[in-house]
Amino acid sequence: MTDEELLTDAGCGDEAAFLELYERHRDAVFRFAYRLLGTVELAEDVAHDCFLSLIQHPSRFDATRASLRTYLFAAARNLAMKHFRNARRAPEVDESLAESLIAITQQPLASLLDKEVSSTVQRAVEQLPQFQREALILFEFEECSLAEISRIVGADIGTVKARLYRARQALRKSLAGYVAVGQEVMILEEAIR
Amino acid sequence: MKDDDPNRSNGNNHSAREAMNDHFIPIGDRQLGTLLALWTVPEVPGSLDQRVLAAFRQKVSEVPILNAPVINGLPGLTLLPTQEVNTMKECSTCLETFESKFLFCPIDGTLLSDNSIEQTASRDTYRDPVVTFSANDESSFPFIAGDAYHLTIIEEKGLVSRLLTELSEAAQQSRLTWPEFKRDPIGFTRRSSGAYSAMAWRFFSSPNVAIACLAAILLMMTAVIGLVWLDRSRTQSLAMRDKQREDLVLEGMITDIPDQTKPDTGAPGLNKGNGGGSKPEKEKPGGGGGGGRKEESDASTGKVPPGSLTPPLLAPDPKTPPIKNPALPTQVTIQADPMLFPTDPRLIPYGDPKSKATELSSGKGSGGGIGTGDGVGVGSGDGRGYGPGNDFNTGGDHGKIGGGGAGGPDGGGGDPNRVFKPDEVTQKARILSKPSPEYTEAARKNQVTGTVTLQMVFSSSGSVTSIRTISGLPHGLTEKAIAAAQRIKFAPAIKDGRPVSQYIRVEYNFNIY
Repeated sequence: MTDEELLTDAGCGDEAAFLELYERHRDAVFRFAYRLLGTVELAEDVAHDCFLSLIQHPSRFDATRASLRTYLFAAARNLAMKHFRNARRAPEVDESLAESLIAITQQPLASLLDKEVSSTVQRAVEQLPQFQREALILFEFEECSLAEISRIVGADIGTVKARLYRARQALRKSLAGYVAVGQEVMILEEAIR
Repeated sequence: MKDDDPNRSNGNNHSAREAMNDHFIPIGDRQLGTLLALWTVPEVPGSLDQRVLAAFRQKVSEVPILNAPVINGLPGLTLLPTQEVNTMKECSTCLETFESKFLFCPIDGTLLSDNSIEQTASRDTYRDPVVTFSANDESSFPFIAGDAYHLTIIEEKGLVSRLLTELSEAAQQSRLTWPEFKRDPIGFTRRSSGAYSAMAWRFFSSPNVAIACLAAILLMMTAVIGLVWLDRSRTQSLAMRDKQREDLVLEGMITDIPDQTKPDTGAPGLNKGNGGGSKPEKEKPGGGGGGGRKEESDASTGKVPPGSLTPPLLAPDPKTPPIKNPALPTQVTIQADPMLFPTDPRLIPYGDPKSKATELSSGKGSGGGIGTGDGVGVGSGDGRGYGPGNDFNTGGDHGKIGGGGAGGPDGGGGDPNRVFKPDEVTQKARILSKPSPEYTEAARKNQVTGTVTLQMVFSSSGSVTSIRTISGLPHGLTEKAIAAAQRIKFAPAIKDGRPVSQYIRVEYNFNIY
């Protein structure tokens, strides 16, 4: 069944249809929210509000404009933006975080297989400006097309490309010491295959 | 839309991404992508599933599905009563939502549409319960507050406070939208006008708003047209009145407006036979008279002799010339109410006023009067009065004195028996002859000279009465003056066409030459 059919059934009270719809998009919405906001609690609230909005106002979803996945991503992004506005600040980069990033950069081989790589990448992404960060997350992690991203963020494709380019440039600069790590991981993956 | 397929495989998507990446991703980005993939995401917490499922079940249990409105084929679900609702506005350009207090998008300056989005937050705050209707009601659906347009505005704040709030909000919006307007004024204007048009269309397409506005406009137009019509009618009537006034010609200004005198009630007289006479009570007079001297011709026209309640000594005769200075003055009268037959001052012969004959004649009657009857009266009756009837007086049938009749058609002078002053009458009495007094021997011997002043009344019957001395002279001169005054011949004063009595003052000068 398509998302539209499931949503219609859910609107009529079909719990099974709603659960299938929910499980179909839950992980993507949660991941996107987590990568935007950085905490599990906020990501859970945003994901919850996304589906709650879908329950309360199903008519706001227009299947002729975009897919339900795009609609949910846009809703999650707007809620995250609202959170940032309410906090009246963009997610700040902790000074200690920046220092640790420099320290890690100075000793890349020592942290090669550490979990800290994940948090390092997270912090590097969080340092990006908001528009660049959301475009990067949608493109790199959620594998959205440029057209989908442009619909989600409300900008044309050229703007999205520019944001992606700048985001990559910034990441390339901040994660310069880890490019070799990425290359080695890539070699290992090809060897395993 | 191919890109919108949520079930697409990662491989296909990856191929598309690689195709795009070939255009703008430089060499080395694969390593960057691999590094980014090391960013792991925690598992979805189980509490999320519970919260979402609980919310869904609560929705389903709260609202009967049959009552939910179907919008775009999807039944609507009402709000959770335990969740806070934040009304948001959506920007048509950047598709972002903002709080309802924003009128313009803070990012691109586009006028935010009023198509508000209600964002909910999982907070335990109080909210008014949703009103629902029964399933049997055809028009029943979950009532959403604000759907209908309400003209009643309930605001506890004062006018100044609200004005300041509006001004501050307007200033804030101007500050936010000014950069966008500066960057793209034409586009900003176009977007703003489009948003305003959409807002106006939504406003007028609300239930009953168009009808209410139309009714208000019609009411105001009716009132305005009515006022204009009333004003024009009044102006036209004033113009017509002014035009009539312009037709008048100014002949002069009135400087001395005389006092309006009260008209006299009129003297009693015959009034269609209902009354008339000198009696105080209303009573119809009666009687008549006639006469004649058995002449061949009819009685000639003339005046009726004055009336007197005593039988006449002389019968009227048209042919009898007046006697100048008679030794024994005798008045020709008829026996009738003097109120009805006052002295006629005209110098014409006696006769029948109703006759048309001009040749002097006493008529074919007998008895010595004038007319065709018998007696010393005038007319066709028998007796000493006037007109048909007999005996005396007038009015027909037997003679009797009437009274209390209404005034004649020409009005009258009130009580005709009273004596009027010279300035109260229409025509003053005219002295026809004034005999000179004789001088007495005693006065001549004493050489008395001077003036005797007398005041007397020239009565309506032609006699001099009520002689009173104002200033006199001795030795019989005053008596001589009174005697001379009694011989004065005069025409009585006339008031309202009737002879009336009048006071008069007469002076006699006694001189010795």
